[in-house]
Amino acid sequence: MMMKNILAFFILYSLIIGQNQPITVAVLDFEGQGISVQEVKTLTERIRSEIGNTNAVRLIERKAVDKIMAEQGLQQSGCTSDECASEVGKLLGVQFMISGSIGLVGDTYTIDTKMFSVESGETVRTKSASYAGEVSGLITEMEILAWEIVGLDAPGRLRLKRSGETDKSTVAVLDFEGRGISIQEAKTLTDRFTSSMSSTKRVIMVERGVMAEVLENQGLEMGECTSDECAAEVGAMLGVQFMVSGAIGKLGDTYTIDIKMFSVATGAAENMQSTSYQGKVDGLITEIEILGWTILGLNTPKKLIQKRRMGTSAYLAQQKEKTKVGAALRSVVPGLGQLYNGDKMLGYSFMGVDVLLWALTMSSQSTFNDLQADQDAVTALYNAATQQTEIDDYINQLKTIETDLQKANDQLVMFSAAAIGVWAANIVHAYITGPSPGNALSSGPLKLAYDPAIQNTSIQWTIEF
Amino acid sequence: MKRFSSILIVFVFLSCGNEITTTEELRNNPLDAEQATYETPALVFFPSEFTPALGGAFQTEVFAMGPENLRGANVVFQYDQNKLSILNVTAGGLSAGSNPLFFVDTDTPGIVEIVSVYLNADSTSINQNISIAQISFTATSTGQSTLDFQSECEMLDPDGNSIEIKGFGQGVVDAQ
Repeated sequence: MMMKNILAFFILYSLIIGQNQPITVAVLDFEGQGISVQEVKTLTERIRSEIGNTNAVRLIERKAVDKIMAEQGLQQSGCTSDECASEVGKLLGVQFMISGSIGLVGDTYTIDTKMFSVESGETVRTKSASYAGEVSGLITEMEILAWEIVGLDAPGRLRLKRSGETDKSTVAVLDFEGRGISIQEAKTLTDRFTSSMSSTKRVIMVERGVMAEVLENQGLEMGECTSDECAAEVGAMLGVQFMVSGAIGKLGDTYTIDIKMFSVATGAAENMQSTSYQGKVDGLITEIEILGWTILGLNTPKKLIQKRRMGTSAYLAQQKEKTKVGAALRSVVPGLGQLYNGDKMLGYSFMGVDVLLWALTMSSQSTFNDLQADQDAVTALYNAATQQTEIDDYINQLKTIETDLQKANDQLVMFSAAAIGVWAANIVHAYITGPSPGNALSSGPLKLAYDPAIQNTSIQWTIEF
Repeated sequence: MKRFSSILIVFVFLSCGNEITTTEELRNNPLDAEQATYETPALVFFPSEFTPALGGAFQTEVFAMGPENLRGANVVFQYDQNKLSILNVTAGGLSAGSNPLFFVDTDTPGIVEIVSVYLNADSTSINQNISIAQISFTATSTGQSTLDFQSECEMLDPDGNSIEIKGFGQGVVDAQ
C-alpha cells in the first residue's frame, strides 16, 4: 500500500512538473534591412537575453543554434526562410522558433517578430513595433517585444523607460486596514496618503480605481488583499516596483498608523513607518499626509509641520483668511504679495528685480551728485579765472560735466521709472492672481494606471479646469 | 500701444529726475569774452555783481580786458555816494613792477580816478587781461546802485598813444 502511494505520488509529481515545464524556444538572428549586421546581432542578442528574463520559456543558447547551423553548413543570417528555421528547430529539438527582421524606412525603424511551431510550422504569435529615433532606442523596443512575443505584457519599468520616465519609481497603495475606525475613514485616509505621496513628485502612483479593478479581476475586494503575498501579486500585475500596505488602529483615544513599503520584485521591506496620534479623527489626515513623505525618506514640508502644529481647523481657517486685497496691500513691499499668495519664485523675482532697479537708481543718483559737486567746483574756478585761456578751459570742463550729468539723469529717470513700473506690476499681479488654494497636497498630472480595457499599464495625463 | 505709451509716460513722470544747471546758465564771469555783451578792449569790474549786507564790505577789481600793447591807463568811475563809501584803493597787476606808478584820487564825492602805468624794464607792454586796481567799498545804505566807468577813461600804449576802449562793464551793487 505504502509503495503504491509512493508510486502514485511520483507519477502525479512528474505529471505536474511536465505540465509546468516551460516551452522550449530558439531565437534566430534577425534579418536586417538598412541597418548594419553588427547592430542586428546586438539587438537579437538583447531580445534573446530579455526572453530569458521572462522565465516563461526555456531558451536554447545561441551557441547551440550556431553549432547546429555550422553542422548544416549554414550561417544564421542565411537561414531566413520558415522551412530552414523549422529544420534547424527540429535539429535543436525545440518546440518553437522565433525569427524576425529589423528594417529602416525613412527615419523610422520597423521590427517584426514571429514565433512559430517547429512541429506544425504554424505561426503562433506575431508582434511588430515601429520606432523613430536613434538606433540605440531600439534596445528598449526589443526588450518590450521579448515579453510580448512570448505572450506576456511588458513590465512597467520597460514602458516607463520607453516613455522616458526612468527616474521615478512606480508605487501602488493598498487600502489600509482599519482597526477601530470605519472602512470609509480608512479608505479616505488611504486616498489622502496616496495623494500625499503623489505630491512629492518622486513617484508615480497607481489610481485607486485601477487597483480596485485589478483586485476585482482576481475576485477580491480592496480590503481583502492584506497579505504581503497578495500585495506582491497585485503589484506584479500592475507592473509597479513598490507596493504600500498599512493599518490604522484605535486604542482608547490613541490612533496608531503602521505603513510598510516593499519591493514587488524582491518582497523586501523598503521602508516602514509608524506613528501615534491623539485627538479628533480628522487630525489623522495631517499625520497620513506626513507619512506620505516620510515613507519615501523625504523631509516633511513646512506646510504640513505647520498644519500639525496649528491643528487642521486653525490651519484651514488661516488659509481661508487670505484675500486678494491682502495680497495687494502686502505688495507695497515688492514680492511680499506673491509670497503671501504662495508663489515663492515670483515673489523673490519681483523682490530681486525691484531691489536691483532701486540700487541702480541710487547708484545713478550718487553719480549725479558727484558730478554736480564737480560742476560747482569747476564753476568756482571759472568765476575766479581772469585769463581767457583759463576761462575757455573751464568752460570745456563744464560742458563735459553737463553731458555726463545729462546721462546720469537719464539713467536715473529710466531706472526709477522701471522700478516704479515693476512695483506697480507687482501690486497688480498680486491682486489679480490672488492667494493660491495651496496645491502642495494635490497630486501631479502624470499618473501610471492599469487600463483593464487594453490589459496594460498606461500613463495618464490629467488636465484639471 | 497708446495705453502702453500712457503708462510709460506716467512712470516717467513719477520717476526721480534732477534739474540740471546748464553751462550757459553758469557763465557769469565778466572777463569771459564769449559771454560778454561788450567788445574789447574794455574796462570791467571783476566781479561785477555784489549783494553786501548793510554795513558790510566788498571788494572788486578794475580790469583791462583784451588790451593790446597796454602800457598805462587812466580810469574814472562813478559810484552812488549815498549808498557806498570807499574803504581803500590799491594797485593791481599793471602797477606791480619794480617801478610802479599808481595814483588815486577820491576827493570828489562819488568819483574815483586812478592812474596806473606799467614801468617794468623787461617788458614794454601788456597783451592780456590785467588788473588795474583793487577797490574796497562799504555798503552804507540798502538798495541797488551801479558802478559806472566815465568817458574820461583812457588806455595808452608805450608811445603814449590812446588805445580805443570799445566797451565798459558795469558793476551792480544790491545792498541788503
